[in-house]
Amino acid sequence: MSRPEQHPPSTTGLNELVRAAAEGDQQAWDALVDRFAGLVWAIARAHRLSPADAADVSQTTWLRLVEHLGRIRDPERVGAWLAATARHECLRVIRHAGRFVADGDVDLDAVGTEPEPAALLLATERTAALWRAVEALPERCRMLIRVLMADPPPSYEDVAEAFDMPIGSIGPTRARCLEQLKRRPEIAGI
Amino acid sequence: MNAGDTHNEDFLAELRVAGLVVDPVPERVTFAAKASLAWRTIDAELAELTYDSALDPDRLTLVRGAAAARILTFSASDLTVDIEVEETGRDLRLIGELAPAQHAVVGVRHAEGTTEVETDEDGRFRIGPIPAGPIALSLRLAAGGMTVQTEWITL
Repeated sequence: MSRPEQHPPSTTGLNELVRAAAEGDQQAWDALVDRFAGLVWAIARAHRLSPADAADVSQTTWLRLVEHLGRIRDPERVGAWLAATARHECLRVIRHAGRFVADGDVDLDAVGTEPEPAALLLATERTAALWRAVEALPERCRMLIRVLMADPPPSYEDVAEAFDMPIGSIGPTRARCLEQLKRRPEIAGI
Repeated sequence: MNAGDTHNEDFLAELRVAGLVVDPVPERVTFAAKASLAWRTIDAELAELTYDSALDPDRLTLVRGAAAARILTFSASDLTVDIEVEETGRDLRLIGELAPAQHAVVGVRHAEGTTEVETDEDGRFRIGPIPAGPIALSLRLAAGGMTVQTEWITL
């Protein structure tokens, strides 16, 4: 095999990490944070939370895992558990802030666009163009791509939980959204 | 894996680098996440969040746009805690009541530490100001010496 698998994060070791962390093993806990902090942050930012709200949602999500460490039924799926918890916390923050429409859906357009991140000014032209192209995607695609950009790369299972989507639809949606992204004028010719 | 998949993988890798440059996880967020293991409690019963007015569609249509107080309920096997949250900017005040009514020491865990109060004999308490952000309550019940901890929530 010449290339790694498409969504490579193996679950090897997650069971052990979760069990060790439940016993108070700080190194095991740190390893879990290093593995999934990017995913949790990306989910919060994909929901257009401000950096301050995204930090609060991240911290609440990690504290929830601390209190549930000994109760997680399937430690191999801790990434999916974190993704679902982060999504719920995002919706709670969004709805509490009144960014809510009557049909029960979150009105993400009403959240408003935040100013462009200052880091864009320091990024290369290509990097800045890619970022702006992602931001300009239709909402569902923008959110999905933002979460797929998490580092290290999330598994499809974790991404499915982040959006409450069937796991089988992640691959096709991803392909469709990437095609749209490649055609964005922001990155044409760069 | 076909050529299109390979191309998409390369494209996503490039996007991932853009994400790391433009919107990385702030160091303080990772630091706080790692420090949160210190909140691990071994012998406390967990009271789950069973009601949040922020997710109540009936309430939302009524109060949309108004500065209505947020109402939360946490439930453990033999204890219910109702909380009303008053917001003043980034400061919060919590007004709470235990059911069944009983005396307890209530600790609110928040970003800057723990703030403690005692309930009155009817199980009512008032606590604040505390900073907005992740919050959990720890309730040391006078009867039986048991401790109940609520789930964390972003307030």
